Amino acid sequence: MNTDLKEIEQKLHELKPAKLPDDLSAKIENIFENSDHIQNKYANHRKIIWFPKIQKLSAVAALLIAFVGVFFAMLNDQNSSNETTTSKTSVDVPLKNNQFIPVNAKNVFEGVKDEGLFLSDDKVPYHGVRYQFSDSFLWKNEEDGSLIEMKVPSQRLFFVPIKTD
Amino acid sequence: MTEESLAESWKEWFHLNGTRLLLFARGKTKSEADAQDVLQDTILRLWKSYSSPIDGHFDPPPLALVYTALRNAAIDHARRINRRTQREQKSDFIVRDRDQVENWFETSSLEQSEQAQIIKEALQQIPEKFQEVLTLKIWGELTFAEIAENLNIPANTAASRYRYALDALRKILKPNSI
Repeated sequence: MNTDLKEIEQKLHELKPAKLPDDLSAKIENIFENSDHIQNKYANHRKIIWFPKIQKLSAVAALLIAFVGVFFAMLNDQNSSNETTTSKTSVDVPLKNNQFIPVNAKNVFEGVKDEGLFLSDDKVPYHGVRYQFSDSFLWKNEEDGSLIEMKVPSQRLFFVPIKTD
Repeated sequence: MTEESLAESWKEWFHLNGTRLLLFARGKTKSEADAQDVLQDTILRLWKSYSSPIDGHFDPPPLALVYTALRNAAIDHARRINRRTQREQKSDFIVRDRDQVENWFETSSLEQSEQAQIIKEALQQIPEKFQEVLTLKIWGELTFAEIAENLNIPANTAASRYRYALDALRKILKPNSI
């Protein structure tokens, strides 16, 4: 460091920071007089939180709800595990006793019936024709050869437009 | 330690260090009012954080930490001021400089007072990063290592900035010297 710099450094060292303005000193001393936050700090350490009765009740209710929730969740888990087992059984075990298998289905035409003439809203004449059928279904038990037969009558109504011109 | 004696210890600590802290704050702010605001704000925060006696003893904050707190407070303050100034300019307010001319240094004679004023103005002219290192070193009585930690720079950089600061002051105070 050259002499000029040393000289300047020396000059700077000789200077002392100015005293604080009186009003600023007073304000800052006031800060130290205020010890509320210290009391608060200590008070926080000693603080005991007393729950009011309603909060106690709320807490008990919340615990009860949580307990019931957990209980049903466990029950649900148990059921779902049982269901899984059952469904597995149903898939794995082959069909055995009392199993009927459909072996035949028939749709037999039985006749036709004239339903007469109809006039639609837009003044078009129709000829009504009713076709009658008999639907039969047959199931057979492979084990004992027994049969189940079901016959269901069915009919279909057709409206055939009549040409007028 | 009672609350009264704790307050007394803090007052004593502040009497010892207040002047240098205000000087640093003056260097970091644009006006005397800002410097005083920043100092008050910082002391208040430190008081709240450090005023609980540990094991019944007064435990003052380390000076390096105080300077860091002052520096951060000055930055925050400057941001607030900038926002306020922008608002005021937008609303055509005239911002008045309420500062009086403050002496940064103690003086006992007219000659010394003039010299102190010249040095103050010179300090205000040099780059802020040089000025803060110089202030911390000479009046803050921190080591380069402490300054480096405070400013988050390497110690060598702190030492270089100190030298550049002196050189910059030399150019202002002794423009004819080589």
